[in-house]
Amino acid sequence: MARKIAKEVENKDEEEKKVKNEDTKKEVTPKKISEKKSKKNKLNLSPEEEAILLKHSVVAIIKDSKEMKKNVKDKQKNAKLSKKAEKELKNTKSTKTSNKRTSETKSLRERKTSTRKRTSKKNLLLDKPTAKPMLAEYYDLPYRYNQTVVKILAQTPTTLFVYWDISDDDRKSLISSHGENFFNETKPVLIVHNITHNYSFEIEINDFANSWYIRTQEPNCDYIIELGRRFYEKNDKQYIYIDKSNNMISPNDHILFEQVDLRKVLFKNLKDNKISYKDFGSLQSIRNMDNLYGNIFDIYSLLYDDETFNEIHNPTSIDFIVKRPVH
Amino acid sequence: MNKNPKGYVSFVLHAHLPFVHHPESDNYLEEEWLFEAISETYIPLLTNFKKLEEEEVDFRITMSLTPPLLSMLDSPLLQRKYIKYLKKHIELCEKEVIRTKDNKKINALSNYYLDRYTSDLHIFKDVYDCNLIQGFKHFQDIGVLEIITCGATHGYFPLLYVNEKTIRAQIAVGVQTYEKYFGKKPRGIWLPECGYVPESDKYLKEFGIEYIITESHGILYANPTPIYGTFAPIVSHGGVVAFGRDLESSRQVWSSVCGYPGDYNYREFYRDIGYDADYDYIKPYITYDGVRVNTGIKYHRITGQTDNKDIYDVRWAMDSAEKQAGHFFDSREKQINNLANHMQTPPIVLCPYDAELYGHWWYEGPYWLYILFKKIYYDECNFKLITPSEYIDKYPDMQVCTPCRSSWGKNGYSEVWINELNDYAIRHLHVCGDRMVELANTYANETDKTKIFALNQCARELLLAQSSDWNFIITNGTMVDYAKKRTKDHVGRFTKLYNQIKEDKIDEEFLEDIAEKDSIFPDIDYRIYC
Repeated sequence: MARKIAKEVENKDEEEKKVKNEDTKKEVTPKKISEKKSKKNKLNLSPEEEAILLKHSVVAIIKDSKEMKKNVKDKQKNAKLSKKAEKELKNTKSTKTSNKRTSETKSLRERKTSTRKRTSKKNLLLDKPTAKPMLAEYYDLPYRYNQTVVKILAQTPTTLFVYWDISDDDRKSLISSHGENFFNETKPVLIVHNITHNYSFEIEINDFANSWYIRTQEPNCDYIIELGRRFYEKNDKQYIYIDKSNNMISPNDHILFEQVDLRKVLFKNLKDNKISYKDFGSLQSIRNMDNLYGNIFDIYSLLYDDETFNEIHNPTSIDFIVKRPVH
Repeated sequence: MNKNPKGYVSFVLHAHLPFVHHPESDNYLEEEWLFEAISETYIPLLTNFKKLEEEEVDFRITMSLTPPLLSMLDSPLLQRKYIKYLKKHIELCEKEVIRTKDNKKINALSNYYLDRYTSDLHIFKDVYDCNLIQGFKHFQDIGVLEIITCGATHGYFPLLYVNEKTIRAQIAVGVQTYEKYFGKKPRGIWLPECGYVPESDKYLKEFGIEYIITESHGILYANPTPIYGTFAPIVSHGGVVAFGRDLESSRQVWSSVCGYPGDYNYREFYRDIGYDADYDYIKPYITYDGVRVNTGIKYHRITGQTDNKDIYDVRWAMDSAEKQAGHFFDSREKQINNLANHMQTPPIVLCPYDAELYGHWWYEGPYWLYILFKKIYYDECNFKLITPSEYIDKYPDMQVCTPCRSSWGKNGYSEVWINELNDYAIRHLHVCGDRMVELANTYANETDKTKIFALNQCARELLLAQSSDWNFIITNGTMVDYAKKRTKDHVGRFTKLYNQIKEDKIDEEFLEDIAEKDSIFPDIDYRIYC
């Protein structure tokens, strides 16, 4: 699915125009459907009618399919198709057909025409119409949900996405606590807490936004974000807390070369759940003989060929570069 | 074929399409995604598996068949629409045979396509009785194919997990749908977009999932660092096994520049008679309002970095595929020879791809797979094909590491699903998720049938809104209006129904209408959100 749509980007401009045209036309059809629905209620099949359809298929289907075909073109096309199918029946038996067709496909055709007779009932069911009038619908996303909320997600290892809102009730209580001009005298701020390394920083945002992208210095950290407001002139730049977000751990973005002790690598056996520690420090092929044990970097340079190792490019996702560990 | 292989190669194909089902109209172009995939990918794969079975060639391959895809393959409406699609194509091919009768090469291709579509119709209707799911199940039953599941509607976990219950539900319904069609529990899951968060481990374990597939850096950036890179699976502290994509083999297949699909003899995707043919002639076979689209009938080969495309030759393309199968085979042998010297367990080279690469994007892909599998079976080589489950059973001892929070989207994290183009939708998904949990808890002991039906329909609407496909499409700028409309429709239906349930004023006509339009997961129970 992913690749299909990635390639379709090439026809982007054309597609956009076409989709716009298509869209305006689609908006017309729901109207028509609702009009038709009010006129002829009998077009809708109830569950009982469906059951009857299956039992006495031939007569009921022909009758209903005639009623339900609101598109005359479809009717004509089907007539053409069935005529062609008849022709085909005749043609497969004649020797006029091209010799270029393999015998395999020829016999497939013959098989097809013979099964056609046996499965005629199923064919009629398969010829049931494929569209019917239904309720017309149109939705817009709600403008707000009127709740106080702050939520963070990690867009990348070093970018956080945060969105927020303050409910009307909370706005009123802030005003009653701090005065009518509260929202004019304060600016919204986000305080980003890096819990892993125990530091915070503050970002001034604005009242036109209800979401923000925040660049952070470090991947692989636990973050929480506070939404507040700060007086910018009065009150010694007093800070008023409003709400805080969920915890969010940002992803890692490099190979953790230093993170494993090669002499004591933790293993688990899934059959019996036994834990064991394995020693890879004495691998003969480790090049770096300065240390008592080598480093994962050395092992990786043996596992991955030079082309792959020096600049690992994954064609469908990230470019990542293997970083030499700093000793 | 080797009884004592030095290593293993594992192909994993991810077959997914978003749930596109419109009983109210024949005019949704997006429905053709399914029909193209059936004609160009699923039927060719099934046909090639069948050939291998008949030739008694043993092979192993893994496929994820996502719940939305299974639901669509099982839909009688979409089966009828597909047959209509095929019949139209057969009619077009017949016209083409007549139109191109003076050009020998192109006429041969017209006949080739006529045979292909006719055979598709026969295979779909007569051989499989419109039931392709059973077709895949057969290969699982005889032991050559392992089918794994996916999130219910391909919801992207790193975006949804602020409310963990929504992830749990995605897994639960994914497993439930799998059990319905395949009669047993899945051992593995293809996480939507390979989007991994450690918080999902406990839910995966709860529903019996043993392993996941991740992107390369999901393994390479794990904590602590895996000793064997992507060449052995790891098990997280939560007990979930993770296999990571091999970099070298994926570059050989995937790269649009130097990868296999770029061979000059292969079919050129962008020369289709939907665009090339005379407008009045092709009009009945493109969109209902006259917009040119791909028909699947293409006469040209890639030829080179030129606009002057030569005519496609089926035999030349097959020759290229055979050569490339040999190249892939030799590369893996060499790679595994090298790896086996440095590893205590036999290495596994994981090759995960979108199933649609084989057939739809790379027309000759299924044939390449067929030739490759035959080579692996008949020729002398140091490796065997394997499924992840078999590897776990053979080599259950693995390093404990937590995979990296990652995805297989562009740049490896969440930029595709969280950016300035589509981030407006995120708060709505979160609110609907919270509301669904609220409904499930408030009405946990509900007995009124209509209310239960409405609650289950809410769950369906939420799941459909959560499809990662909508945000993906918005980022890539293709059918953006359709994707935006889908998000609005599902959030809109959910919100309307949520309010009706809370006010105890359920509009039954509305409920039946949307239940028919969004007829997915018939056995869903809203209480999975409790």
